[in-house]
Amino acid sequence: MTFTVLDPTNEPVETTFEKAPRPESLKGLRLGLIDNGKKNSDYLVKKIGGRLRSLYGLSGDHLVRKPSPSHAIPPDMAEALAGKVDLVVAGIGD
Amino acid sequence: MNPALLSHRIEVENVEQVVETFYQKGWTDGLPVVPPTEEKVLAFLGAAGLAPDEILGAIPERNRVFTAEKVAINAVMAGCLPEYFPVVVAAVRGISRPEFGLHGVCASTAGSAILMVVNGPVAGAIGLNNGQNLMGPGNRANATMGRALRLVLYNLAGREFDRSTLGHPGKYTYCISENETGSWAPLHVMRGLEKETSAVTLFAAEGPNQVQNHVALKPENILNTIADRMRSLGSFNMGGDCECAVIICPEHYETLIRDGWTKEGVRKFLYENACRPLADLKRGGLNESPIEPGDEETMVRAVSSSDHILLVMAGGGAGRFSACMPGWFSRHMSKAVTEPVGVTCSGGT
Repeated sequence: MTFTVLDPTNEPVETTFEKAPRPESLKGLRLGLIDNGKKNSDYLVKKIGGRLRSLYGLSGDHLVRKPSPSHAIPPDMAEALAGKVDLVVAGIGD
Repeated sequence: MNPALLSHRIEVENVEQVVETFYQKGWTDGLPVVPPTEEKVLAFLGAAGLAPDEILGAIPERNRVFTAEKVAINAVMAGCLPEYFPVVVAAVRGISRPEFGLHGVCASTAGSAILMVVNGPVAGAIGLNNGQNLMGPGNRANATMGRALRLVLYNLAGREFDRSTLGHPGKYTYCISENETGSWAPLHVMRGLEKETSAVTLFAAEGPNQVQNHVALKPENILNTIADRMRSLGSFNMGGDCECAVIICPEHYETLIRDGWTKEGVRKFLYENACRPLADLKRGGLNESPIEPGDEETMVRAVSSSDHILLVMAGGGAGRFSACMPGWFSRHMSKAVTEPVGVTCSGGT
């Protein structure tokens, strides 16, 4: 005599997205930095930004700070950043 | 005709095989489970009037959704009864509200657990304990509804994201109800609902910090010991801007009420007195600036408003032990939410 039970798990809902086109060269492109809001995150992404600028000839260092580390960047903040830079680095600090 | 359930079926020979199979698949919190049969799951869905595919909530950051069917399966596994299920449903809807910040709450190294406080008529109707041994063990409704919420997170939210350094026992179950027999307004009323509405309040919290004061006869002295517990340098209440839950035990309540203290008055006192000098924060490195003249006199509060204290009266009739449960990280990442039970409303994001 057998009986059946139900699987209690789920799977992530599949979503699709398109990657932004990759530049052939980084030279002269405008760099944006996203500070996720945790302590020292600004220090980390600024350090990375400085290193990338010196290595690849990037320009600018437009920095934004997310209001919450565990939430995605707000759409209006992302759109404003996208209008000012060509690529971004997002970092985490702790 | 019963609605069709969509979950994968597993054929087993006996209950022991269910328990061992679920262990092997990593589907339990470390304790044995009740076999989630189709019959039981349908009974749960029926008790809450839900279709299996109804979405109760989600963690958008992980592309995970919580359907009524999957939540019911996990509630059966936890040992719930069908009549508990509307409360579990409300809890899942509540934690899915954007302001609760569920992804951070159950991914953080800080290891908070989700405190459930059930208020209103449903609490008595399903036998929730608000008295002796408040946080257990020993009461089915408290133990299994809190466990159900954890199993939902474990099996449906992506347990691989839980990076808690220490965790805490409340991550097995952390569900209480309030003693509403006194003259104080219950928690859900303080948060804007009618007394006759049933509701569950969800709060990402540390474990209970017990406050012992067997000797004080003056309300202010009792409250001072609670305020002292709330201002621990090692909690996020001092290092951030969090809410804090406070449980007043019945004996402390009797002392307070005898002198006319209301919940509003208690919250105001705790707000004003749960504080410590800025210099202490600097000595602990929570603020890395050098200590300056005036820092010993500049006070930093554990909560930034008396509204950020979730005040509950509960616990056994004997003993002068209250408690506080500091919050997780920051109100800007997670706020306590109160969700009515039995009301259909959008919970997902």
